[in-house]
Parts: sequence; structure tokens; C-alpha cells
Amino acid sequence: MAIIERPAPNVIVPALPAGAPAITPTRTFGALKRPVASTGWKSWLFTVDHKKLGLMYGAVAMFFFIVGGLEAVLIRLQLAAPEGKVLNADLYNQMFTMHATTMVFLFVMPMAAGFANYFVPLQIGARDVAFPRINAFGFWCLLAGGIVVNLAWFLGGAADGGWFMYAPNSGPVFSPSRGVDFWTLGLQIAGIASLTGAINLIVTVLNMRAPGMTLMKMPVFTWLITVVQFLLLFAIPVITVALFLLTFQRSFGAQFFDVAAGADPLLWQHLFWIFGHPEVYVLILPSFGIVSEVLPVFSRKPLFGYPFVVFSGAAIGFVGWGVWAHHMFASGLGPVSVAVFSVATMAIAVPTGVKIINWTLTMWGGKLVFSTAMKFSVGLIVLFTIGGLSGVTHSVAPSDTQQTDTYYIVAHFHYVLFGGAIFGLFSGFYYWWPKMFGKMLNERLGSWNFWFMVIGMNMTFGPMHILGLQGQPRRMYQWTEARAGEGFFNIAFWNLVASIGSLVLTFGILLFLINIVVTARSKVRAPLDPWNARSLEWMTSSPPKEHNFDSIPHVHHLDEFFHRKYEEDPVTHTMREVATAEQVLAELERNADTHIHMPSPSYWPLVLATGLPIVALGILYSIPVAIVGGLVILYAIYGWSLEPSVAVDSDYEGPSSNGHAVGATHG
Amino acid sequence: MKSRRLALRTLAVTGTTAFLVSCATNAPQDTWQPKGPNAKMIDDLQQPVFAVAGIIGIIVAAAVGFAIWRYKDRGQPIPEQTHGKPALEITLTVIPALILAVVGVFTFRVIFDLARTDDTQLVINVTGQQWWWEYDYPVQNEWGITQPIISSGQLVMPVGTKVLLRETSRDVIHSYWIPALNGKRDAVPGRVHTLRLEADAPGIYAGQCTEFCGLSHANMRMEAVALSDEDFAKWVAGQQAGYRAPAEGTLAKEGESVFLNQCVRCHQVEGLKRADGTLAIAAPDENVWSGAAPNLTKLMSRNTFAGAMFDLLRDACRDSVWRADSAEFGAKYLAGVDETCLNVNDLRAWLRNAPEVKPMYANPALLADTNGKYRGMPNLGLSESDIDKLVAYLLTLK
Amino acid sequence: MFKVGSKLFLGLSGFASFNLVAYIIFVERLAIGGVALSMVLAALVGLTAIVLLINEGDSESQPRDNALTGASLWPLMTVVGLMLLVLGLVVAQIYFVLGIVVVLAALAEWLVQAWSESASDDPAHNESARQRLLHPIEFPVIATLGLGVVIFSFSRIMLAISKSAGAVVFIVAATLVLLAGSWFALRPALKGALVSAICVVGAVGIVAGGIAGAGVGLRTDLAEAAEEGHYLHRECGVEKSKYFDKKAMKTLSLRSNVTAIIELRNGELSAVMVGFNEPQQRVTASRANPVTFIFRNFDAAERRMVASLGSAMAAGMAAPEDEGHAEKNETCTQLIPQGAEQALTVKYDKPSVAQDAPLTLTVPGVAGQAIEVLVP
Repeated sequence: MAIIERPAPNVIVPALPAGAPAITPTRTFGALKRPVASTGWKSWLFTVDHKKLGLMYGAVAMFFFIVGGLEAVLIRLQLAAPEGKVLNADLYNQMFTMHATTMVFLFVMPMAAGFANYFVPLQIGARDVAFPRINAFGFWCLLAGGIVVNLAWFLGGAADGGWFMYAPNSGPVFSPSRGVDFWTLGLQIAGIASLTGAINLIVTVLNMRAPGMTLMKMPVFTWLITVVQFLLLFAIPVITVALFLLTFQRSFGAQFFDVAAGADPLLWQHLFWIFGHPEVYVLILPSFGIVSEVLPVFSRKPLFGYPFVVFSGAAIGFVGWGVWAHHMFASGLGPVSVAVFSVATMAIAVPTGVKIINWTLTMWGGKLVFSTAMKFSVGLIVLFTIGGLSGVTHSVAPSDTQQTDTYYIVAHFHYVLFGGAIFGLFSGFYYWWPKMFGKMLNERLGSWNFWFMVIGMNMTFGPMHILGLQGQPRRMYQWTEARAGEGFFNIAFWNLVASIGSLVLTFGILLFLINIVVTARSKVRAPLDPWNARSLEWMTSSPPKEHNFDSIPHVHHLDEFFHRKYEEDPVTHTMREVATAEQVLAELERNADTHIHMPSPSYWPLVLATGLPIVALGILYSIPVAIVGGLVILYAIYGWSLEPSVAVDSDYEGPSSNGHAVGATHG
Repeated sequence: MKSRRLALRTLAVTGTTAFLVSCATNAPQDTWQPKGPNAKMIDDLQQPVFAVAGIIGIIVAAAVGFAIWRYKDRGQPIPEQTHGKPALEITLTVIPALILAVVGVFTFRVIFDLARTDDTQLVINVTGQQWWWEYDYPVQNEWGITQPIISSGQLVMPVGTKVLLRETSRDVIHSYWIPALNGKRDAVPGRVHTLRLEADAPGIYAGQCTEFCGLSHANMRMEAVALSDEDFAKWVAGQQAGYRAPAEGTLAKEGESVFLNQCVRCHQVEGLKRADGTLAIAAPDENVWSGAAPNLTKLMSRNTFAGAMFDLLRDACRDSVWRADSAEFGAKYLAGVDETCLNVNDLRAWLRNAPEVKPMYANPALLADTNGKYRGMPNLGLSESDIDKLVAYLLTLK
Repeated sequence: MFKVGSKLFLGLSGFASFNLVAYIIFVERLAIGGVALSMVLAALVGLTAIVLLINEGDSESQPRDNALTGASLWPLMTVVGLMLLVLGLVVAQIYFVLGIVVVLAALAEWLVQAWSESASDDPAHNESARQRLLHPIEFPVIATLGLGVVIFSFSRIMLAISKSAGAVVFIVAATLVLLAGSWFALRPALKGALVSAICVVGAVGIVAGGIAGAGVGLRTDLAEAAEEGHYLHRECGVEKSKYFDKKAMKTLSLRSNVTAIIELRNGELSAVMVGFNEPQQRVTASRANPVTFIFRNFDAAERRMVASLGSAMAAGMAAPEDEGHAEKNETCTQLIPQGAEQALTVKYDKPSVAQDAPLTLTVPGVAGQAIEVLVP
């Protein structure tokens, strides 16, 4: 049995008169003592455990998914009929801006971060990430940023300039309400989460892999997450700069985007899209990683062409930096730039296509089991291909000048983001739920969930291809009969179909939420290895113990877990089972490490993350408040630095009145 | 059972997509109905690309559909753990790369062809502003344009001529798009972007602003009107004809004084004189944040107003102009708008309370941020009799 | 843990905040009552914080450090702060603000010191408790103040001495720091006291030099230039001041997609615009729209381009910084040498017909050449 070493319940006892109370952290520090509990609500608030943080990321992301989804439904209700009256122009503009912002920054990115936080250390055989307190700080920053962005709804109107917030429309003259300020500052704070998370995961993957796990024996999910972190590492600073310029323009009278002062509005576009294009790879690659895990498990075959998948992921990471101006083909760049970016965009379709081929060939010749996770993964292959092909049609720049800013583009990115990223995340939910919670999501409900989502998604976004080609631009709060065309299948018809589809889709997602509740109430425990999986994270209990692995496994193969369960028969060349999952786990437990030091909880990340929205509100309303926030940040940074990462003896309570040591675990 | 359903589904998805794409109908802004050589160049390039994309999509969907039917778990043993066939991989990677390379070569040509400006025959300056378009025709004697012509909403141009738009904006980024004639080009403040337009036949071609520009972005529309060379010359002459003051004692004359009191603050009518004989020069730079309002000099020679959001022509009259065939279109367009064809209701509603029919600034309390200047036309609080007079006056602006 | 006293004050704070919120909701604005409630809330929150901090709410008896209370700097610092505060009321606001800051800092230190002395009767434990609480703010603040003083002093030195002397001083100082740092790094056995002494001597030297430099003031050319307001000064004719920014002459203005490129070649001005196959003598600029021209000088001499803005300037137009130019209603680029270019952004608020004279782009010193700007 592994033992997490906590200090023996000795207390500092200088020469005290007999009967005097012992010196304990509570007595000295009161409410400010270092948190060391591993159960209870405080263990969640002050946790640095990657698993708890992953779950919290997931819960927050799910909440914002629902918020963003409601915003989308309102948009579709407004557009179901000509000259709709559901939302006025101002509210509509806020709605589409916030829908996109919420979905991109507050749902897909944090959800992927949640999966990454939970499973990357498990997949590489580590006990936690390299910098656990920074991990916690990142989560609290994300929460703070999400709250700041959405506070605007209650304080004068949300941001209304579109999720890419082009200047000069984003400036103080054309967007006078505070919504854009909340947007800018909130995203700035959330960006800190992504950046610190990126550094953390890169260091973790490079330094903390189990012995024997070379980079080319890492699971593909971990590989693609690593590529994502490198993308974030270089992209987030760019958006940080852009947001700073905008903050100074709006709050401190700078003239970065003031045309009369000689500024060029295209500066914002370039800065945003240099971030924005790698950002879309940040959104899709984690789902590609999940699918690359799910497909082999449910095909009973390894991933076809593992090196190709890995290298194409890295290639996307590189070439993705050279295509940003394909979002600006109509922005007046000039034919040379347009031609270069057009060709580069075509080039990047190739590594993406490689993955589709590899996934299909993984299934080819396999033994396919269609669990809900597998259904979502197969759905991703088809739907992402559709989205990717419409993307290839945009790469032809002259054609794009007809398509850009119309519903054709909206169709494209919803196919790749919903049919791609979100389907991948749902596949991950169904696949990894038993590992995280010890119970399996109901497969029957899951099937209904899947079908409603597929049908709803195609009903909603399929017609948008036609709407765009028929000339309906995006970001219009209303459309008119005068431009709708004649005949039955005109713009009016397809808008109605899309709106009905969005309701079908909503129902599908509701089924998922119901599934979560039903599963939470059920008493049925999941088996240790319900899917007959292949990678390291399944060599733990469900849910994993606090220290993940009793002993760190030595890795000899890609798909190490699979190779511990199955061996190839030398005569018949078929796979035969040599150990069950329970036996594999039992062996790890037999060789358990006896001294494990886990990082201790801390409140400094939370304090530091709280200082940031105080500064943001201060910039908006009152500079002295910002100064107070700045002092909180300064205090938290130094407090954190001076605190050891593992709690010292004197942080633990002495024996309480009933003789038990509080905060110690027993061997 | 499940896998058959899955197979059916993938085929259904593909089939539906193909069906959807094929069922487009004639919308005024349809991007697959080119009416000029520039749009045709784009269409000729995109059609094969769409076809190739469609074929690849069907192949992938079919492959996936086949795989999920054929390799479903029917009790077979765990399959051979193949790790990949590099030769197959490389082949399947190289083929799409080659296809894309060919597409790239053609794309290159079209990009540079569409960017040419050296063969321009007529230059028109386009300025976007929240939420309407202004056109000014610089002096070009070969077209009979001897003084700058300023209009808005409908861009009139000669047929079969290589027109070059020089686009800019006064406030935020807008985008000029007439799908039947060419792709779009952003109008960015402080910059000048060029866009080629050429129409094959006389007619009216619908368009819309396609870069989010604020509250009424959805209501910022325009049309390009192509006229034969003779008709265009007539139009130019008409635009440059001087101002005809309405006769004394008419309702229109009273409307002229209302105009001088209220409208001249922002709207310019060339040649309009005040009571003391001085030229009335509008001062929108003092009253409107973006500094200009549509020039109304020959308002009734165009048939839309308020950023082409509303028609000046009533239904039957409108249809007869919009649906006229090429031979008759010029004459019908040049006839302009008269009393019998005027869309009085929309015009009156606009004059009565413009921000109510077209959202123009979210919150009047925020005027402080724009030095007290309006963004768009304010509610002037005109009485009904003033509106009567103004409508009578506006009808004379032809 | 939350003891009885802490719970009392937390409850009172909660009650007060509830009252404040209810007041704001029902009265719909802050007003006097709201201000009063806010102050009560602030006071209660402050008391709660103090109680939590010093654990006075703990009703069980504590072992105290029964040694005599040691010496403390903080009562004195509090009084110093109070005096600064009072001084500031009379002399200048800055001392008042400084006084408030000093009083708050001293009181916080004093409070925490008192609290830590009653945490237990082990002085080592007490000291570590105090440090744990206050080091996170002491370190950065003292470091910032210290570094700030050193840097500010060094800046005063550099401003006082001449340019060449300044370069020498900088190099010498940097070399000394490098040598000292290398010596410390190569000799880890060096006594701490020696290292501190050297650093203190260095810092004191810089501060002393800074005080001297501040006393001497700016060197002459800087003082003259400041009086003139030179770097803001933009002559639109021949450059008169000797303190204008000569480096700006060499600035390349990267702008694409401008309204027109105005070229001065062989004594002639012409405008190159996209869409027009030949250079023009007239440019159309739309009204009330910022337009950008690029001026390219192919002439041997240094030239600038001047844009006349017309007599009927709008009230909201951005005027050139120098008042003298507002009367002449013009704006211009810097002087640029041969082969260089500069951009100029101009906004014409009134149309040409409203002007007394045509709007033009000219180059002073090149007679008879003008590009007419037509604003419809």
C-alpha cells in the first residue's frame, strides 16, 4: 500500500507549563493558516490536485456551454422569420458577440484544459503536473475572467462588437457602453490561465514521463495537447498585446486605432488573427487527440500510422502560424499577400487530411464496438471532413471574397467546431466518465443524445451553406423578404429549418445533462476497465487515488496497458489475453512506493486570481480600487513564492481533543 | 443493427448535403449567378473546386460508412495489430497535395487578374459610413463628368466598362459587396482599397455591407445600376443639371423652407439657395459624428433611400423597374420617381421618426461620448404638415 | 478556526452589507444614508479583519511570551506619518498622501508585531509567524523603494552632466557593477558583511551623486529645449529651432493603401493614385474623412509638404499643437531628406465650395507647384 508521507503528528512543544494548550496553526494564524485538508469543501477551494482542478474546469466549462447555447437559441429564434422581433438590434449584437466569446474562450478551451489537466499526468504516468499551484491559479483565473466578461450583462450591456472586435468599431466612440471593456479585461485574465497552463503542461510532458516512455511512446492525446500548449505559448502573448492596446485606447485615451491620428485599423486585424488562427487549432487538436484515443480502443487495433498522426499534428502547429491572413482576404491586403496566404492555407489542409485518412484506416479491418463514445468519434470524422472541405473552398481567395462574412463561413466553422471539437469532447465524456467518477454514463440515453445532436447539428448548420451562397451575410439582426429570393427553397425556408434544427440540437444536449443526473443517482459502479482500453490512465482505480499510481509503471510500449493485458501468440499471430485489468492493477499495488510526497494545497493561487478582477474593475470604475487590487496581487505573488510547495510539520495541527491527528492520512 | 444505422446515417448526411447544395434558388445576392466578367472569373474557378471537394467528401463518407458496416464486431478475434503502411499513407497524402497544387496555380492567376487596375476606364470613389454608402465621381471628361457628382445608395455605372471603385470609410470598417459583379472588398477608414466592377448587361444588382459596422449593419444595403453608354451619358447630364427651385406658392416651395430650416444642417442639395441668395452649404461635420449625410441633390433619380433600406418606389412601380429586361431597363430607371410611384408611407415614417424605423444609436444618453453629435439621423419631431411639405419638396429633387 | 468573537463580527458585517444592499435597492441610489451605511460596513469589515488576524476572539487562554516587550520602531514611524499628514494639510497635498501611506504602513507593522508577540511564548515561533505574514509585502515594497531611489538618483546624474560625460559615467558604473558582481560570484566564501558594505557604499554614492545632480539641475541644452517645447514644435516653413527632433527626418512612414502619393521630382509635384494611369494634379478627398497622403522627396534638399486646411475649419478639427499655426490653418510633415518619405493624415471638414481659396498641398521653397485638393 502506498503511503503519502505526512509529518508525524508531533507538535512544537517548547518548555510549557503542564496543562497549557499546545501551539497549533489555528491558534497562531486563525483563518489564515495553511490549508492541508484533503477532504471537505476546503479541499476543493485550495486544491492543487490536477484531477480536482480538471473536474472544476469541466464543471465551469459545462456551465458556460449552457449559457452560450441559450445565446445561440435566442439568435436562431430571432432569425427564424424576416424582421424578427425577439431581439432588438442592440441585444442581438450583444448576443452573437457573447455567444462566440463564451463558446470559444469559456467552453471549448476550458473543457479541453479540463481533460488535459485530468488525463495528461495519468497518461504519462506522473503523479501531478510540474507546477501544481500554478495549475490552480490558472483555473481560478479562468473563472474570474469568465465572470468579468459576463458581468457586463448586468452592468450596462455586454460587448457588442463581434467576437473578433474589429477596430475602430471597438473604440470608445463607436462602442460607448462598458461591455467591450469587460470583454477586453475578462479575456485578458482568462488568457493568463491559458498561458500559465501551457507552460505547466509543456514542462510536465517534457520532464515527468514515466521511465521508458519516450516521446514516441506517448499517447496521441498527450502529444496533441502538447502541440496545443506550444501554440498557446506563442499565441496568447499576441492577443495579450492586442487587448492591452485596446484597453489603453478605451480607458486611458491612447490612439493606437485612432484613424485621425494616423493609425491603421488593420493593425488590430493582424494582431487578432495572428492569435486567432493558431487559436482554432487550439480548439480542434484536443478533440483530435480524444478521437485518436477512442477509435483504437473501440476498433481493437492501434492507431494507424501513429508517427504520421503525431508529425502531422506538429506540422499543423508550425504551418498554422503562416495562414492567419486568410481571415483577411477581403481586407485590402493586396494580391501578393493574398496569393501567399491562399497557397499556405491550401498547404495546411494536407496534414489535417492525413488524420482523417489515419482514423478511417484505424477502423479498417478492426473489430468495431459502437459505444456512445465511438459514435461521437465516427461522427467527428464525417462532420469534420465536411467542415474541412468547405474550408478548402475558402482557401481559394477569389472564391472567399464571395463567401467571407456570409453564412457559408458560419456553416464552415460550426461544422469544424461543433461537428469537430464538440463531438470530440462528448466522445471524451462518454469514454472517460467511468475513470473520473467510477460510474458509466447510461449508454441508451447516450445513444439518444448522439442521434439528436447529429440530426440537430446538420439541420441547423447544413442549410447555412446554402444561405451563405445565396447571399445572406452574417451578423445581421434581421433579414428581409426583399433579399430572400423566390421559390420555396429560398432564404426564408432555410432560416426556418436552421432555427428548428437548433431546437432539436438543444434537446439533444438536454439529454446529455439528464444523463449526468441519472448517472449521478445510479448506484451501479463501473468495472475497472469497461472499454478494454489501451493507455496508462486506465492502470489506476476509478476514480484514481490522490497519488494516481501506487508505483510508477515502467513503460515498454506505446499502448502500454494493452500490452500488459495481451500478448501476440507466436504461432497463430493472434492476440491472446495474459492478464486482466484487475491483475495489472494489483501488480502495481503490490510494488507500491512507500514514501510519496504530494504537493500540498495552498490559498495563494486563489488570492492572486482574486486580485486580477479587482484590478479590472478598478480600471473601469476607479483607479484607487485598481491600486488596491495591485497590492493584493503583489502580496499574493510574494506570499506564494515564500511558501514551500509541500507543507512543513508546523502547518499540521497537533492531536485534537479526541486524540486523532487532523490532516494526516493513515498508512 | 447499430452499425447499419450508422452506415445509413453517414450516407444520409452526405446525400442531404448534396441535395441542399443543389437546391439554391434565385436570390438577389446569389453568389453563383455571375452577371459580370469579374464574378464569372470567380465562379469559373470555384465551381470545379466545389466539385472536387464534393467528390472527396463523398469518398470519405463512403469509406467510413463501409468500414463501420463491414468491420463491426460480429465476434471475430482481435485483429492483427497493424501499425500503419507508410507507402499507402504517403500516397494518400500526396494525391490531395497535388490536387491542391493545381488549384493553387489557377487561384494565383485569378487573384492577380482581379487585382489589376491598369485597365480602368472609369473611377468612382466610394465612402462607407454608418449606415449608408456615398459615391463621388471625380472629374473625368471622357465620360462627360465635368464636376464631381455625389450620390448615395445606388451606384450608377456604364455597361461593359471596367469600373474601378476606390473605397474608404469615414468611421468604422464596412465592406462593399455586389455578389453578381464581384467579391467583396472592405472599406477601411484611412485606407483606399480598389474593387473592379463590370456588368455585362443593363440592370440593377443588389448588394449589402458585409463587415459588422454597428447597430444597423443589417440595414446597410446598396445596389449597382448598369446603364448602356447612352443612358449613362443621360444620367450624368441629369446629375449635373442645375438646381430647379420649386414655383412660388406651391406646397413644394414651403417644403423648401422647411428643408432649409431642418435638413440643411446635415443634407446637401447643390444649388439650393437661402432666402438671402447665398448658397446653402450643409454642415454635417458639426452635427453628425461621422461628418456627412447623404447628398440629396437628385434624390428622386434613385429609387432607394436611407442606405437602400427602403424603396422610394411603390410595389408595382418597383417591380417594373427591378424586373425590366435589359432593353427597357435604362429608360425605366432614368424615369426616376414621381408622385404616382412614390412609396409615401416609408418616406413619411422616415421623416417622422428615423431612429424608430432604423436603429441608429443605442442610447441617446451616450451622446456625450460623441461631443453631442448624432450617429445617424435623429428624430426631428416634425409635424405632419411639415412632412407633407417636405415630401412635396423632395419630389422636385430630380 | 472561527471563534466566538470572529463569528460575531462576521455576522455583524454580513448584516450591515445586507442592510446596505437593501437600502440601495429600495432607495435606488447611494445618498447620505447609503454613505453612512457604507462607512459602518467598512468599519465592521475592518474590525472583523483585525479580529481574525490577531485571534482576539479566542476565548481560551494563550501562553504569552512573558519576556519584556522589546524595542519597536513603529510607534515612532506612526508619529512621523502623522506629522507628515498634518504638514501636508498646510503645505502641499503630496505630503498629506505620503503621510497617510506612512501611517497605514506603520500601524499595520505595529499591529502585526503586537499580535505575533502574543501568539505563543516561543520568540522564534513568534518571529516566524510575523515574517510569514508580512514578508510578502515587505520584500517587494522595500525592494521597490530601494531600487527606485537608486534609479531616480542615477537619472538625476545623467541629466546634469554633458552627453559625453554621461556616456563615460554610465560605462564606468556598469563596469564597476560587473566587476563587483563577478567577484562576489567567484568567491562564495566572502563575508556577508563585506558584500553588504560594498553594496551600501555603492548605493550611497549613487544617491549622493543624485542629490548633487538634482541640485545642479538640467544641463543647459536640455533646459533651453524644455523652455522652447522643442520636440512638440512643428514649423510648417523653414525650420527655425535648433532643438527639433533631427532623427525624425530619417523616419520611414510605412503606410499602404493611401489616398495619394505626392512626389516631388525635378522641381515638380504630382499625385500618384491607384486607378489613375497617369499622375494627376488634382486629388479628390471625401469630406470629413481622415485621408492619408505620402510625401516622397526626390529633391536634393530637405523638404516638407504642407497641407492647407482652408479658412472654414470646423470646430471639432484637431488643431496643430502650436497656436501660431492654427491661424495659418495648415499642417505639415517633418523635413525629410532625398529619397525619404513621410505620411500625413488630414481631415477636411468643410467642402471646397465653402473655402475662400482652393485647398492645396505645397512644398515650401518650391514655387509655383501645388496639388489641388477637391473636397466635394
